[in-house]
Amino acid sequence: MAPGAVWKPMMLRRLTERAVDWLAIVTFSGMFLCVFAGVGFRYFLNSPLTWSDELGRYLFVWCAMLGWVIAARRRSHLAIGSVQDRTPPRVRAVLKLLAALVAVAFAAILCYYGVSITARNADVETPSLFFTIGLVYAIVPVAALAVGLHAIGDALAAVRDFGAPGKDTR
Amino acid sequence: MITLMLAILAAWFIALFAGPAIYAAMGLAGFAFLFLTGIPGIVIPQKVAMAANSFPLLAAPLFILMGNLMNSAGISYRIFDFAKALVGWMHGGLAQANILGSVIFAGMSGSAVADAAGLGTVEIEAMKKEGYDGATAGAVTAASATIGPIIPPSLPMIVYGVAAETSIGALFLAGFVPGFLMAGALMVMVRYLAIRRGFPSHPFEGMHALWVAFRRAFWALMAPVVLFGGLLSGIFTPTEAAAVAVTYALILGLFVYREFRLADLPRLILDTVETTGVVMALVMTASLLGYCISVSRLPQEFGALVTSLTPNPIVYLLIVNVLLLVVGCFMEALAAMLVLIPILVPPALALGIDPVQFGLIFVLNLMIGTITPPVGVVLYVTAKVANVSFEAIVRATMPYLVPLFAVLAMITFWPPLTTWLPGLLLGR
Repeated sequence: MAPGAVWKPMMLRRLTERAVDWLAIVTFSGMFLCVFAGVGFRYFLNSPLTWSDELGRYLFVWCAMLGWVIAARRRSHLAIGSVQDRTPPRVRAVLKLLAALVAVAFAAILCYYGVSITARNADVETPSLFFTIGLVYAIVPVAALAVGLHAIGDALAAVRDFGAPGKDTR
Repeated sequence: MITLMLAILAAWFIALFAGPAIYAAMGLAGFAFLFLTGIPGIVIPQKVAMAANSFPLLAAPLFILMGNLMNSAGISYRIFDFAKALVGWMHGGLAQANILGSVIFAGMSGSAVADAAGLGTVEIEAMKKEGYDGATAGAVTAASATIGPIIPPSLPMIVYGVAAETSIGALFLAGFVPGFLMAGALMVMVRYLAIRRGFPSHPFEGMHALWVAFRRAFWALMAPVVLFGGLLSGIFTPTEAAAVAVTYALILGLFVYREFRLADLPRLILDTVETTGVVMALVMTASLLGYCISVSRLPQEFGALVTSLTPNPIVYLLIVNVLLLVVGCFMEALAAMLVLIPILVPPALALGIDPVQFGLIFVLNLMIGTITPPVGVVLYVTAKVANVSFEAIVRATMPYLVPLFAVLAMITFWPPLTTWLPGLLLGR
């Protein structure tokens, strides 16, 4: 894709997807390094770290939520597809739309309450780290927003399928 | 509140067949309960996010990464060739090698689907080349893939341990004996079918060939040894053992077999995060729904009902077995496990059933559920790899359910099969 010819919202989408990917890689690697450092310092250097377990857990919260987003983008969240597979194209499109709306609804709920829990914990300190619990929670509304956007995309695709059955966009 | 909860659970179960993401339907079910009972919705993000704030659960993504790394390190050929050299001379040689390969792979991967898709591809291809029909090759692969989550490491056991507050280390150790029993029972069944149906077989390739295959597979075979060494010694927690095992797999793939490079790591990590997201979306929303279930007092009422009906743990275990097998047919294993744990585990403890034995029964039931129709994830994967219809693979898998049921009955009626090893090593 030539940079000049890109439609702007598409570019924004690619950028955010890239950002999610890199953040996922960084949090995952950080999580692994925390456990690794914890093992190393406890068993081999005999001086346990006080913060590694805790930081690892918080990174896991972030990583899990980001994985949630990536799985939504790649449409790999588990679902029972055997009924959809056996229905005629138009019925299938309706079922897919309903399925997408379920995801949109839950993402909206999670995002809405995610904002308030982040705000409520903005000044609650973590036991051994420099940031607050609010930062741990902050990924929830962000990830929920991203999951919701992907689900809206799925809903639109289902509507298109209904209009032009047979040409399955999935 | 109990009626409300039961109504919501029933609606959720039925709605799933329309095909929404299971986690999203689970989250909405939780929201419906909170909304209708007037509990503030702020517990939703709290339960969801804090479900991941768990050090034991951190073992899950690490073991997923280990499985991905080992698969990319090109170990499947080495392991299968070694298994072939070792048991290929038996009746139905490649089918036997398939099962043995699964046992070895079970020691590095914690998911039946990963086993069926990774090693399974190599196994099915080799079996078809030797003249097995695709359905049989797929069926043996699917049946033996259920061993994966029974022999540690095991994703379902990590999730079970966290959700049911049972020691993951003890669950891991408890899986060894049943896992080997499953392999043995499946191999007996393969032998029986091989003689009756005339599966292809070939003579022993000789000690030299075995030695060559062993040497080629040596560093891959050492991966479970590193992992089990840490677990069995009791020094490492499963999470720590997972980090050590990941390190081993990294060294193996990067420097020993050189099948992937540093530049491949971002992709491998992203795939791992994706799988982690799939698993954790279920675990996190199930934690919300589990909270709702306990608020509704459904577990207490169910527990009282059970103890009033039968004081006999064996009767309860049989009821649980039947229930889980039926649910396992219709429901994805992880989701079923997460929803049923808060309901089924408290009565089991009240009846004096060992939590570790109960965990193994739980996991094995649901693993059998992954190879039974109509909802059988592992069957779908193997049918696709073997390039046969779902119906054909369902039929071909039937005989292999018999040995698995036999092992299930054994661990149900005889607790030492699951409690002896953890008792011995952890002094429980």
